[in-house]
Amino acid sequence: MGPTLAVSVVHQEDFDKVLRELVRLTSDYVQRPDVTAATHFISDLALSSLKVMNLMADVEDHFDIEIPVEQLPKIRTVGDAAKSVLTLLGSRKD
Amino acid sequence: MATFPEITVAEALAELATTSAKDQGFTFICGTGRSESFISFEALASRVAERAGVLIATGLGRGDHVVLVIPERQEFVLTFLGCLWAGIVPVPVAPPMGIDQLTAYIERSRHIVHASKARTLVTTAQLKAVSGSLLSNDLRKLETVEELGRDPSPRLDLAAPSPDSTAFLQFTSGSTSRPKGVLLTHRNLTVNCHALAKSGMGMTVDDVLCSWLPFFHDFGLIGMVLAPIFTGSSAVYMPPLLFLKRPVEWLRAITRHQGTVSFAPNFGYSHCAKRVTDLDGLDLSRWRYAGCGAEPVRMSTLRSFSAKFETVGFRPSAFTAGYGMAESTLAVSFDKSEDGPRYDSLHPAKLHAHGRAEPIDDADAIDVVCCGAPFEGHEAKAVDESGRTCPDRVIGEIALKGPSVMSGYYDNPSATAAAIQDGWLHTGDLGYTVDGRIYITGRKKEIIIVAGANYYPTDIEHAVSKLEGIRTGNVVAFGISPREQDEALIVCAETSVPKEQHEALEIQVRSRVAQVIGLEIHDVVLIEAGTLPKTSSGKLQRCDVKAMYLGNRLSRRPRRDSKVTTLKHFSRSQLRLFWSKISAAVRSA
Repeated sequence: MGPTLAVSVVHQEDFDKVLRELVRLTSDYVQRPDVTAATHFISDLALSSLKVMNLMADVEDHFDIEIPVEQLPKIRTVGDAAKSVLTLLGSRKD
Repeated sequence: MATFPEITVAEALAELATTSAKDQGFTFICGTGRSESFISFEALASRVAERAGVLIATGLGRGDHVVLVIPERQEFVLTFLGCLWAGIVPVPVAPPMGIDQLTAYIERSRHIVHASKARTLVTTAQLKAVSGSLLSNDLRKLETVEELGRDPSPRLDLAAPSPDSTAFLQFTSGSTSRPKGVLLTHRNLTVNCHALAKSGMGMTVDDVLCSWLPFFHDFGLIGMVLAPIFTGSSAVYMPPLLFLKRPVEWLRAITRHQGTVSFAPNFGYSHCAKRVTDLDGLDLSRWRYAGCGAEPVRMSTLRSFSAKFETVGFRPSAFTAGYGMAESTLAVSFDKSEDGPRYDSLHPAKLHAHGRAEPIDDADAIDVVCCGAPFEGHEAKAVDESGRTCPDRVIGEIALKGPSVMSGYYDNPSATAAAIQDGWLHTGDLGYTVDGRIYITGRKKEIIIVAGANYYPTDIEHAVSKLEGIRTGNVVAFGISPREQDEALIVCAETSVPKEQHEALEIQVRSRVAQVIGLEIHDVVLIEAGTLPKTSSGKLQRCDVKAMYLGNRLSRRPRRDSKVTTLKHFSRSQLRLFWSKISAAVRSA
């Protein structure tokens, strides 16, 4: 089983830090200032799936992680991506 | 007349089980690209025979249709081949890509399931709930590959279907509400696989195919899974999403496995040219067939791919531009030249206004890549409106004839009669021929092709029509091809909301299309009610709207484009037009 998206055990500060980075990366990518945790890649930013994948690859490079492709369809918002990144960063430390 | 062997896919696999070396077979790359699993042809044949036995044990019989919604690639291959082995007719349906477009996905898939008249659906445990919503009066049974794999069942003896019986149904044509299932016989598959693999590419047991293409796409399934079974070539498969996210993984797989044959739509090559930055460790020197097709092949893409990857051994002579469609099983023709891709540089005005492909030596020329001559035993020609064959270099609709052409659309005699006339398949593609070689210049049918996938304007128009503020039924969607770029989607819609609300409405239109169709709109044009051109019977005229759009004749508010379009995206003639308009505006002001 791959890592889950649950973040209950993770410290809120870590999550906020990752989220800030995600918001910045997304905001830079779409050239829009109004990105938040709730921003939906497809319905709010109208990104195609290819563009979402490009952004995820940027996110992977930034954090030096690999998001398994099985998890990608579950990532819908910036917050989802932050949770996924945090879990992967956490599992790397283990 | 060319002769083709009378051997089915399953028979070829059974033969391969006894003749192939232990290290020949299929490799599946996992979701991170870090691990792989290998199955030899011998083991594959054995597991396929088992899967065939289990499928029959569920109550399926020869000739029954079964829908496959299986994202796990190895399980898909086992089940698909298991169906062919047992003489069951598989109907592959794309699995959902995410939870966002689920409603639209279910709507589309329901239509396919209904039209296929399948009795059983095979899916995975994970997709059981979603797939369950596809069940209907006709389709009542749902099996999962996990359950099928668990039940031990004796291997089934190979069925020997007649070459002209249906092998499988390919639903790749038609809009959401009216999907068309292409009926392919065992003979269609055998002929096309032989033609493309043996005659077209001279594939042998020494070749290694590397593919990221989805299996529910004809290119990915017939070209990359079935064709190598006829030649005994090994193949490596990676998840399409892995390629989308990290295109370098495709090139790494080719390097690692010393891949010799790989195909991608034009967008695959442009994705690599744009996104791949780390060339460390890549070696593409063994890649001898770099196939490109399924959407218009652009010379500029091939050039930029070559420029980037020649340093790691890629040879431009490997480029093999192809033409094909599901209605002709998969491939119609390939073109490969030792000097690199062949193409015509054409006079744009003569091409568009006079329908003549006249070569010129000018920077404004449009490059049209040669797709080669049809395979042996097949014919192609360009025909005019009255069905007469066009002379060389005159644009017409491409028509095809030969043993790869489908027998028709399943249970759809009117669509079949419209497509096949006097034994010729009318493709809806526009192009011309020179000395028997095919060149494609555009499309008669109003399909929008993005990244190798077909989208139907009616589906997009329907989705936008449902938005509040948009006049129902007064939406037109079409594609434009900005010079040397991928096709771009334009949506024009009539609205009666005040101008100050247009920006918010435009965002809704973009969001709706991204959600329901999965496409990004290049430009949204909101116009006043009653301004879209219609026929006397009130039907919208897509061609006219497109012409008005291209001629800048649609009255609308000034565009505030969220995208940055730089001048380098325009051709010189477009720039000249642009500047002349600006100077005219300045003069009149």
